[in-house]
Amino acid sequence: MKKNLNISIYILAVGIIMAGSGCKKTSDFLTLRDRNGIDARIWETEGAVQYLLNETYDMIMPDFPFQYTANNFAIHLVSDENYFSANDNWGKKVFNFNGFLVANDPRYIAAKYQGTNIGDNRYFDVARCNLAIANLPASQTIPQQTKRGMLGQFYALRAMLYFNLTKYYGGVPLVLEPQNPSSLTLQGRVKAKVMFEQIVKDLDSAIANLDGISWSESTERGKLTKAAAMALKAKALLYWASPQFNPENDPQHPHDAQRWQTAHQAAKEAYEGCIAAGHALMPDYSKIFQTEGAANKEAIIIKSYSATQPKRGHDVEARCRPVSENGQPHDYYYASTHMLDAYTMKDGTPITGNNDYDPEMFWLNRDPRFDATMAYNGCTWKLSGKNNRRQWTYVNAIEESGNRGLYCKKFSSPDLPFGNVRKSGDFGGSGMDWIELRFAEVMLNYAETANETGDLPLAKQLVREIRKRAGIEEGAFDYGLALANSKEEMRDLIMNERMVEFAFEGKRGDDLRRTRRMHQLTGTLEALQFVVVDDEKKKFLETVIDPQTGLRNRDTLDMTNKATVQTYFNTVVIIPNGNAGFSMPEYYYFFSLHNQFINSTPLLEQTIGWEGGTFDPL
Amino acid sequence: MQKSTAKTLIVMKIVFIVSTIATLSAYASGYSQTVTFSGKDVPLKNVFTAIRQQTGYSLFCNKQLLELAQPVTVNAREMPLNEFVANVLKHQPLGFRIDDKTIILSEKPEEKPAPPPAPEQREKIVRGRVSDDEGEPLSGATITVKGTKETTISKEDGTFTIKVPDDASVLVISHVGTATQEVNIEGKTMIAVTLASVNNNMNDVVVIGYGSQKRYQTTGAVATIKASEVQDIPSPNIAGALRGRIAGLGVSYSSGRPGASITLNVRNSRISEQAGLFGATPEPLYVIDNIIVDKATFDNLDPSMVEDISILKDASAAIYGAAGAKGVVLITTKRGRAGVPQLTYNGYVGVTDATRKPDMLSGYEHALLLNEGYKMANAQPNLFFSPEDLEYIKGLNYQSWFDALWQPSVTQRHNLSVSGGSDRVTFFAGGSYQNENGNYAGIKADKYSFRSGITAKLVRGLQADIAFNIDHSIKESKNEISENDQSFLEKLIQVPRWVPVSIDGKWVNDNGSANSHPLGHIESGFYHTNKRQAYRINASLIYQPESGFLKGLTARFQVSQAGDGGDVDMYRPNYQVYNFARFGNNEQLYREDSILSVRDVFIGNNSLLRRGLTKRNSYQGFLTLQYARTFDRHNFSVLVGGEQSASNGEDLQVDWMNQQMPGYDDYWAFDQSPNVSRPQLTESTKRSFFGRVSYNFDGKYTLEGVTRVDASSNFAKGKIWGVFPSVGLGWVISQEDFFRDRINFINYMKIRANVGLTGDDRVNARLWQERFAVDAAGYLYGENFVPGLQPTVIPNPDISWEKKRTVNVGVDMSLLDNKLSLGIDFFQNYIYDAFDKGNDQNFPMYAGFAAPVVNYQIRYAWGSEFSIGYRTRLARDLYFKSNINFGFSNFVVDRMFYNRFLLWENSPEDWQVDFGTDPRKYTSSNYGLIALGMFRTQEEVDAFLGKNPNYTIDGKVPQPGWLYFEDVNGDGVITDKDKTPMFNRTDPALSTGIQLGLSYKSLALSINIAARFGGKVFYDSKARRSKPTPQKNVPVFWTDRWTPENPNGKFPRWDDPSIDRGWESTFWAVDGTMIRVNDMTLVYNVPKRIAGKAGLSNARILATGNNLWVLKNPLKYKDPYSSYIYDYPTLRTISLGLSIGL
Repeated sequence: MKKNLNISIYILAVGIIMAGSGCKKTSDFLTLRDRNGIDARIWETEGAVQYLLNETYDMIMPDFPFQYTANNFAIHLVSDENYFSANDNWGKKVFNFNGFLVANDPRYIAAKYQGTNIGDNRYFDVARCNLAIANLPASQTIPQQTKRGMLGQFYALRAMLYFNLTKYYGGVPLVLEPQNPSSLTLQGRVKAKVMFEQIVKDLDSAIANLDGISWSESTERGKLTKAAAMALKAKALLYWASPQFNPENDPQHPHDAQRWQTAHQAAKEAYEGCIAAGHALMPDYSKIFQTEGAANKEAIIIKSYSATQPKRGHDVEARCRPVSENGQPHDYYYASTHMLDAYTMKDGTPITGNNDYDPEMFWLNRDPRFDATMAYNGCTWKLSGKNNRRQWTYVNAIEESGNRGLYCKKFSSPDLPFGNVRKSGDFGGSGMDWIELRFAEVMLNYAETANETGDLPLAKQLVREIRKRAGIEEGAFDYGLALANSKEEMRDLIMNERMVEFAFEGKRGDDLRRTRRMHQLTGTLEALQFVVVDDEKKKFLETVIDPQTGLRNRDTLDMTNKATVQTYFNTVVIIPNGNAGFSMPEYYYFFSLHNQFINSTPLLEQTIGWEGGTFDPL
Repeated sequence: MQKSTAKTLIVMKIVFIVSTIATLSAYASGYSQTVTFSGKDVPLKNVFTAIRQQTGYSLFCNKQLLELAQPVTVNAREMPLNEFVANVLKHQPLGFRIDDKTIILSEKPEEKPAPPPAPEQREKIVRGRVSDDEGEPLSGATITVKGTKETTISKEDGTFTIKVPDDASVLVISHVGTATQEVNIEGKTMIAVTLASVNNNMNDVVVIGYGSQKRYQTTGAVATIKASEVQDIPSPNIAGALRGRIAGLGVSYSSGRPGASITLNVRNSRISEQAGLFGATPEPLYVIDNIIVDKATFDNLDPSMVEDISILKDASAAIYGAAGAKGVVLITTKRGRAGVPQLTYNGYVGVTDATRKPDMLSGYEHALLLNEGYKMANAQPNLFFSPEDLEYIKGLNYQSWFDALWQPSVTQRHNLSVSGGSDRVTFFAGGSYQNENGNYAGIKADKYSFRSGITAKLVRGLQADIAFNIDHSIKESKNEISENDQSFLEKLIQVPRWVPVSIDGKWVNDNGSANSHPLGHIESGFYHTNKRQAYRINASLIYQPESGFLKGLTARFQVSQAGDGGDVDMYRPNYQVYNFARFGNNEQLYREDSILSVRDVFIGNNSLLRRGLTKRNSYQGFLTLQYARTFDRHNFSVLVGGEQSASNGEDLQVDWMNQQMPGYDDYWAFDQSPNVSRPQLTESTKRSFFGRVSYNFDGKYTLEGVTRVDASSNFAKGKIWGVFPSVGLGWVISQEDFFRDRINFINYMKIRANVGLTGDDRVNARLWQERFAVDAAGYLYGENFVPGLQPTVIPNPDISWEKKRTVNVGVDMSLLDNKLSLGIDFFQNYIYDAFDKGNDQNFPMYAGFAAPVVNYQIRYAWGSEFSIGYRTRLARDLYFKSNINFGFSNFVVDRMFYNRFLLWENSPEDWQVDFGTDPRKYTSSNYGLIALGMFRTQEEVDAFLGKNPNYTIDGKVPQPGWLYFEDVNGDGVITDKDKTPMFNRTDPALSTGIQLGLSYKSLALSINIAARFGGKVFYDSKARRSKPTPQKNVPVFWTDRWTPENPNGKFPRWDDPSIDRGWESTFWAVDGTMIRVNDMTLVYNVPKRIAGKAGLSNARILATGNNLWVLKNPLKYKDPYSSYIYDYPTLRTISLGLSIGL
């Protein structure tokens, strides 16, 4: 029995020792590695910082207009170039066609306390940059050159972001340090001046850090470059000098002409920097968006898309295309009459009082950019690889719907097969890259600062190059430039040029606001439709004459022949029901902070002009 | 001789060769009085073992006697016990006596009449043993010589020795939880006493975590239930069978769909909704055989493998300090029993069908309803069904899409187990198979499990226990596996009846389901399966010295290692739906002969093949040292222990898209660039130390203290430790003389109280540390795809244990000759440092981060629980028992994060429900408009508008057939802002579970009833807001609605603006009283003699029904257990079962 007892104790002891020997100190036993992410070690891991940078690009880099629409973003897309603004609920409110905006409406700045999706909260995007800018310099292991390249991009991205916020709000809280619950930068909004100083400072840092750094064409295209940072700086300073921030006749905010000098200097440097970096205008205006990669020297800032990479596509192709070619056409790409009228004749002279201009045959003899951009009734528009395909835009045209009188050709891919047009799930669409900033803009910015600082010849020279590339004939008026003989006339000409050159690229609204021309718009927003004279004519037009090809009678019409056109069609201006005239209040130039944002701290003031507003960004 | 016998008795070691067979039914069991046994040269010991097994009679004797005995040769068949024993002992030097279910052996001379006592002998020594009616020794019984002060207490092995004065002849033996018994000891020096336990269960062994206690010693609210009480119910798992049986235990089914989850909730545990997104859970902790397991393991446990279930509801859970805050469910599984191997089978086969199927309008009624609506709205003529169309629809005989789908199905469970062994080694092995078939789409939930265990006494005092378990569960479906299939069924049930399911085998594309077809989907080859295979090794070594200075010590070392692997497979091939030509005035009717076009449903990147794999591994090991001794009337036990556990897991899922080779559900048939979703890796470790001290005096007073110290890897260094103490007191007041002498109708009464702290660490790990996580959506540089990295966690370095202080006071009573038992508990819980996500709005929106998870919320919860049992004999052989349990509870949130700006923004549902308010009143479902009535006529409208000129409902001027509401905010119009709490409370006044049992001879019937009285229930929003359209049918109750022809209809026009807006209103509330028969079991115990003829030791046949009848249903259109009309219906199961032992 004694023996048994001993055995028992022995076995038990072995058990206990075995258990005990496996023991580590509790704090060690409980210290586990994070298997689902990386902690502060990120700053010593080049690949991880690069991943963070990639995500930052994804969040900050602008998209095709209308790609992002959450949080009432339509308010910011509004301009007079398309029918969208006349028909969209928010668009109408901005122009006061149908009621006003209230302070709670604009929500670009932040809608959520999260940052996983674009537009959730721009300060989550700021935070990404701030984290990198604060932590990267101290990194021991990341090589200096790599660090510079990454820092430069973070600075440029932060500047882009703050620039957008400044554009919309005038001044917002300027957060430059990483935040956490125990250390918060608690401050209210800062003035536009401070915003611009910081933007320029960040861009200067970007320029310095990106100097001498180049990106691989095959794997790094789209990373911000020194030239891009210079162009952004010029653009920012252009805004700072422009009437939105530098009103001309506002006793409270005296005009500061010096800003134009600064802007001009930056514009000059950007222009020269871009040329030095190899940027130039594309020879063919209609191919700017259809050309990707090194061949596109005009593109300075782009966001890449792909039809075949999951979740990296867009559905712009479907938004542009007519239903007959598998599209889902969108009002954003439906030109307004303002837009149509902005195109000059083919010699650069405006349509007003022009003998060559016939309102019923308005598509004839225009600036070639018209044909490159607009699809009108009976025009030729190659889609789905169909050469000589003609587009019919008359009301109730067979196989179409939506009754749009015009479509936009600019962002369509003529050879994209029918079946690939729609984005379905994570794939599809054209995968066309978005060009956020192209050399033409650098030139026109430079032209504008030149004009404002009194260098009319330089301004004309730059615009002339744009018009030459567009295919405008020199004509009797030096590409139409001879008609501008003063700073004011040139200013108008440049504005018009920008509207045409950048049609549907989302720049028009910004320009109207920057120049404080938005509240001065007159008339109302209209779009065109073509109407078939009668049902019998419609039946005739749509009769198939060649069952093999599906050719119909209409496909044989000569749309340059006025008599023919008049036989079948009327051109009708449509006004969306009940829209009043343009009457945007001037305080819209700086949007309000919405309730959730402004309520999140007592430090914030509402923008002046809006209900309860006291904060004057200027 | 007398002396030598006495001496023998003093030195003898008493051994009970006993084994216990669980009574097969709580109160309808019995042993035969005959023995069947054959054998040659069998040790006498084995013969008595057989007697014990067959008759329940145990042996009481000097061990040496038994060892000295010769082996015997017997051959008996159903021989009466007396005769059999006499037969066996015929050639032995032994005599015997049968005394109260105990066979007492003695040396033969004892049988001779004792010589007359010497006159000078004033007293004698009486020795004895006290056992309960299951033969288990009873310690702590009080033995008193009647009429004297001589008293003693039985030891742990039930034995006692007492001096009896000569003139006394009666011993009074009492014990809590048993009937007091008087024994005549005239002429006896050795007695065996069996105390009949009474139905207060006070002698039951209650598993309380790392040990067990007698019920009378417990100080906390511990509910127990024998698995035998629930194993016959054809429910998907143990959790489901517990519905309505335990006060304070909530059981909720997601739906009737096989495989849908069933969750348990102890005393209405709650979490902050936000914290729920970060891993906090209101579920209790599941512990099987001392090892903490996950929910899936608990769900896969076959009820037939379970011995008993304890639920720790209060601070008694402090021994599980960590994660004990939401209660603990303790399961003990079956173990082997010594004796000849016993084979047991039990199982059932049943049929399931919906208790209620959604009742929708016929095609004709639907079309009429639409026409009426169009008429009222002055709609264009081309929307109407023409009279010819209506006639056509009337003549249609299409099967409804639901009927085309739904069929009754079969469910079954089979369990086979073997148990046996010697007194040194026992074993248990059992396998089970459970199969639940859904009612459509090949839905199936199958479980296979195998459990085995071996217990060996290695050397004296050392015992090893090794168990090995495997389970395998399979869920299959030809539509997506979900909890309630709502979206699938909703679409299907709402298809108008004039739409055929298919025409010539071609699936009809109806407008409503927009290029898909529920039945086409099922038939397309689509499948979705979830499988899980798990194993567990559970080994323990128990050292329990039987003598020496270590006597009373129990050392236990237990280690368990487990692993499981699972896979998720989904295959979504393309299939086609057909657009048939339409006709009729509004083009709604289907032409059977003309196909306009064919649509592919899952073409290109919508075709999918998914393969997901998961694996988990864990171990848990602990060492406990327990020392328990009884000195005189002092009974104490000390337990200390240490525990460590670790687990890790991994998930991986890959999707292939764009099927290239139709018909193959293999990866190579798809586009070869799969989509890998973010793998999940988890790791956690925990280390704990704990102790329990328990002291009981005289069977009356119990003092107990428990402390557990836990360290969890979920928190940062310095915050890992949590300390969870508790203390409890118990007083068996009925053992006091003053009580016993005065109050006769109370047989037993105990008052107990405890207070303690429990904790919870169940929240996501690493919330204390910053984390950058991969975002697979990434970014593109040119055509070069690169992943992204997101900052995802704003760390809260201080995050630590959630805590709950609980106070529980309870009374256990048994009255009226133990016929009535009563259990009452009052509790108060104070939950603090509860996990809550910090309020984002407390930070400026430009801070650029989301608020971290913090220990913040404070809640108070309180309540009472009542459980009343009554059992009696109604007539000869007719027994009745019943048990009713109910409880009342409430809580208030005392501190929480809330968005202060929502206080004036118009979203009251978000905040009114929680903070500082009475949740019985301020719940989102109770928030709505006060309906004043319905406008029946234009005159009524005009009269009303006369008084309230600007009255509008959601901006619309009232019309006849619309509901109208009280203008709560007084602004003259009805908007969102007029919403207000509608009723003072919506919860039932009383909600109870009732179990009734009746047994007559071999028949036993038990019934489980659920009842709810008062309160409000609401028409569910799906039923209420469904509006008929040409694509959507509506529930049949809509026939009784207001129309110009039927101005007294019960329901409003469906263009009522409040329906449009989905506004709750008092109109949709009905009295919530509900009574239903949940389940009913009829058992026939086949009499021994018949079973014996079939070679069986016992046999039972049973018929069971689950979810049988709803006697009072507040909302007739659905089963009260279903949340929504379109959920997978609640199922009724009728089954036949068999249970046999060999």
